[in-house]
Amino acid sequence: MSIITLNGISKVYRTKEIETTALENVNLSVDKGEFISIMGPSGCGKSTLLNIVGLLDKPTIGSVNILGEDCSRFTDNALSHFRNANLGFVFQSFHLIPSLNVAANVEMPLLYRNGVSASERKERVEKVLERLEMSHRIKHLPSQLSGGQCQRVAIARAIVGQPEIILADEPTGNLDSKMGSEVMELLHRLNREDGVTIIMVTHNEAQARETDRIVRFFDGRIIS
Amino acid sequence: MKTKLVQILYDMRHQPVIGWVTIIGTAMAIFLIMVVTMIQEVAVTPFAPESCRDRLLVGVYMHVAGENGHDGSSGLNQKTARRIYAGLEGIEHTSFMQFRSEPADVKGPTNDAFTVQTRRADAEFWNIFDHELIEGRYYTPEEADATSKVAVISESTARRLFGSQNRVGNTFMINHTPYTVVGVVADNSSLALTGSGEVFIPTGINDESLNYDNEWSGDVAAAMLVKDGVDFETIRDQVKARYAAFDTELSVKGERTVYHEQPYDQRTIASGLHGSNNSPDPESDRKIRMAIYLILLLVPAINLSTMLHSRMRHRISEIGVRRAFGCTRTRLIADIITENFIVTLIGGVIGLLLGVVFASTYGGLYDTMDNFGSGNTPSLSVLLNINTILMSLLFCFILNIISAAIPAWQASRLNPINAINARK
Ligand SMILES: Nc1ncnc2c1ncn2[C@@H]1O[C@H](COP(=O)(O)OP(=O)(O)OP(=O)(O)O)[C@@H](O)[C@H]1O
Ligand SMILES: [Mg+2]
Repeated sequence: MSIITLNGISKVYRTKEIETTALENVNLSVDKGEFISIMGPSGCGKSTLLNIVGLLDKPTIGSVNILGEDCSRFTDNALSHFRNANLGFVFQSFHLIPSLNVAANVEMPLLYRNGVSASERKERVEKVLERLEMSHRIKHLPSQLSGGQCQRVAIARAIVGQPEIILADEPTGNLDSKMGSEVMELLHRLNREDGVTIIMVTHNEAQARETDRIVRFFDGRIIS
Repeated sequence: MKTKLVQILYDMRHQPVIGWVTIIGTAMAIFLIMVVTMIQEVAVTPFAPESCRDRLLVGVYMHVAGENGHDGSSGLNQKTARRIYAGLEGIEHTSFMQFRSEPADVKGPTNDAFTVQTRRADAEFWNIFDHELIEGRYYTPEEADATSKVAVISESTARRLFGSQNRVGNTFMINHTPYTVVGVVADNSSLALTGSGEVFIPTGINDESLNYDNEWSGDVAAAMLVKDGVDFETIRDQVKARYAAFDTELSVKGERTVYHEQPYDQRTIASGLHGSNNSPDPESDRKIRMAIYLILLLVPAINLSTMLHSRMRHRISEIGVRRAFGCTRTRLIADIITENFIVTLIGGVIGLLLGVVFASTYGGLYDTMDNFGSGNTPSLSVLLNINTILMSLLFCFILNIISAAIPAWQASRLNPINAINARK
């Protein structure tokens, strides 16, 4: 069963002088529980695609259907709520909030969800950090963590709201290979245990081969 | 709430200059607002000896214009003051007295002469202004009518003249004339414009010393305690009629009175009367005050807005991440404004403390400026009443809204992806 369907997606960036076609007529469908990797040379539109699936950006042409909803017509408010409920983001450079400790960083998505009490938030944060073996760092600031630990916290933040879909843009791009493979293991575990759907952009062939499917891009088009 | 405090502390540590400028800027703004409000409040809030301020009317100055080109204002002489203000309907007590206190040299039995503020008033004065009697008695209506050489003096004047004993019944000199002390009252502040004084001397209809050399002018004013619930306008209507009656007399000389809304309430007196030929204009007073408040508000608001904008610039990527995880635009704006409000409140509290320090020295300061050596400052509760505090809180709030609105709105319009990827 398809959880994400992209239909005829094109994305054109217009600046004063130039027009860049980042995506051209992309059709893609992802099944529930699938773990897919997106590969391709730099500038071929991988991040653009992920942003569109993540409802952070709108396609110039085409429709985005997630969990049976046509998201193209959502208001900004509806998009925010939809992202909060269904999507989790993992970034290459973690993007933890530097002023907040690990617990507060992980708690953040729950703040934007109605009807989650403070005690419930605390409980969920503790549970997810325990699961990712980060409980001993709960009061640390991001600056006091290693890159691998930061990415673990970022993943904890992405899953604390129990979204259906995780979007990860080069999650191991800033990590050495040992920490990288730890993060990959973690993502596979979440995919396996929770059945969460994962779309990951990567430049690492070995990592990509371990996922269910590889989607290859070139110049804004899917080539395989 | 807790995470907002954490954020503020973090910002303070990482951008200390911006943080401190923000807080000190707010503190100064609130402090200035408090001073302005305090000066305003102290002029109208009742406190001893002017506990009657809400019911006090003062008839002072008459404007007379003549065909001969004469045109001017003056206080009244004993007779005319009574013609205009005695026995008005709706008045509980009327005192004929000097509107402004007057400096004079006094000398005790054993010391050098020194200068004090004296005020001549009839005995009704004691029924209007609540001077706490410490020793002896007030002077009587008979003594006032006879312009007896007796005086009621303030505690510290008494101490300077005689020390702490044998004060009532003792004699001292006012400008080389001997007076006998009949009573000692508590020290009072010259902030009580109409009721204060250090030495009070009886005056009555027969006291020529307060009359000038024409038919009507002199240094006498009428202080009136209005009966509870009586509309000041009904008093003014009567006074207007008395003016008209007086006109028939003046017209013989080709002169007429020009009525300027006498008698004045405390608010008008506070706005500063200079015996001018114009009607008091509380409306323009209010406008000036509003303009001052506006400037006091806008200047720091622009400053704070810039500060907040710069604090936000360091947090653009955070804003993008928050938006990605579902923070709506309105929520983002609300959060920024709340956070900023906490900062403003911190600054506000510091400003408030500065204000308290100021208030506890202000009365003294004012007295010094006013050559009123022994004035007792009005209590802190007068200077720092609920109005002043509410006003500062309101200003904190408005300041916050004005300064945070634009940066918060800008933050909410950021494109999440551009924000996430923004360089710090
Ligand atoms: N905001 C933008 N404005 C203009 N052009 C953009 C913008 N974002 C991306 N592009 C262009 O769109 C194309 C695709 O960019 P995208 O970031 O999706 O590439 P990518 O495949 O993620 O590359 P990389 O592997 O380097 O991350 C590039 O040519 C890029 O320059
Ligand atoms: Mg990219």
